[in-house]
Amino acid sequence: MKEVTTQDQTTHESASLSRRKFLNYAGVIAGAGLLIASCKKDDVQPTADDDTINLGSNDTGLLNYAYLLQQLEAAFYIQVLKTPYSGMTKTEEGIFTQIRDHEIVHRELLKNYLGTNGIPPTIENDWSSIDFSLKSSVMAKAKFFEEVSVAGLNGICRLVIAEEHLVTLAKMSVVDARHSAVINDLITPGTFAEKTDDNGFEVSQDPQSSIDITKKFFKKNITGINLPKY
Amino acid sequence: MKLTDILKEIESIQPETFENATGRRDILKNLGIKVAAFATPFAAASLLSNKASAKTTDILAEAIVFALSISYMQSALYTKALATSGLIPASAVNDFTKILKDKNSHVAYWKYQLQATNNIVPAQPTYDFTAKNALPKAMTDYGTFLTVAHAIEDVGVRVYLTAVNMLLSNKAFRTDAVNIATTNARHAAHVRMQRRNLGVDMMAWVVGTEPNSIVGEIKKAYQNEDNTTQLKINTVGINGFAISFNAATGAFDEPMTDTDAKIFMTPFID
Repeated sequence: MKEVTTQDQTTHESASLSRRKFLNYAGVIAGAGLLIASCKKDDVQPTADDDTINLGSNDTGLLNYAYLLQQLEAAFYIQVLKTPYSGMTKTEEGIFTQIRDHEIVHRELLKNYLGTNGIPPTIENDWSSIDFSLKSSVMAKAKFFEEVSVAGLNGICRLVIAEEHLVTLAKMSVVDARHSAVINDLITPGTFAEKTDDNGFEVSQDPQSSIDITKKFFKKNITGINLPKY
Repeated sequence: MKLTDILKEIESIQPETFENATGRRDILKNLGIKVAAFATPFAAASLLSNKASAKTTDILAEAIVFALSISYMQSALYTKALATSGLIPASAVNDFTKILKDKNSHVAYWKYQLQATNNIVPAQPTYDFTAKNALPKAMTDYGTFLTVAHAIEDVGVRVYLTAVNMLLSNKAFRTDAVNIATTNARHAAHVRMQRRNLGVDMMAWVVGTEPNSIVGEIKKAYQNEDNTTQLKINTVGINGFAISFNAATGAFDEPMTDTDAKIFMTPFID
């Protein structure tokens, strides 16, 4: 099997070549699979002790943060449908169900891809700030999680090295953006793109500040201290 | 030396300057790099035929021109629709005005970046949104308009995913492209839900190649959207979860090749 280094240099040098292949054959991604397995000596592997989960370093760490975001979203929608608020319409239920399934696909894909480099698959959530019996509480958190996920995934896209990681994360992020638009419109019609800046750009977020927001929804402490920085 | 290599070297030496948009332009200007080799005059065809000159065209400029080609089309669509009396219901005017504002910003941004890096900016084509009368009511019937609009929006998401990938070597530009891609996805979701509100069974995300809701020229927007393999992993029923084909394909938008994009766009260009 061909080993691929995750160093900037090599990846950048191969970008033009692999792009040709990409354009001719988009959807089939060359060289996937082994990138995250070939680590440098100074790589920090993800760890989980009793109190703290360290996401790790390099692309592996960034993918672990994407994995954590998708774990959070999937767990949230699973709970929303398990304990539906009173008066949930058929339309709302249908939307939540499809979004839940998308988030499960995202989560399980990253789980399988990361393999032994992944953080634990079921990190217990802290839902103490959510009242699942109240529509307003659920909607507000759905809006929040989708916006945080899109901003966070876009921030990760800025930092990842490997081509197949970039394109796969971007492919997930645009679907989370579709979710976000639908949830926003359900709450207030016409707010589908309210989070974009004055130039019509999504506002991406760096992993450090994103983790600061999302870690309170987990019962363990999460650290991304070894992640690449903006 | 290819521009991507030059950029990479600059990036490694002066990462902070490089990530700053102003610094990026200055560096490119100072080097006097002229990368794009698009033939003149810039008729519609040249906008879409950049692949032919790929060997002599830098990948970054190529990516930006590719992104611009769909942003031009989107901007023209909503400009025309909002100017067509009686097409868009009064209740939806604000939404489409917001979308048009974003599209115009995307166009302006990429034109500016091409100019700032001494690249030639392709002219905006003129469009026929009936696709040579394949969709005769595109600009007279709201439902048909929404159909055309969601196809162009979904293609916009897909083209930007390709652009993101092409911009891999430049963190600033790739971030710009991904931030526009998710904005386009928000627009696409909204337009699709407007169509759903007219009684069409569709959701905000693209399911397979959408066999039930598409006709004629619209179908070309969804070629190869039915991918169920991500990172070489099969997503249908992944890890024993009840993940259907619809859920597996809905969970990802797929990048669109320039070949597929050209097939879709060409009938709409005068």
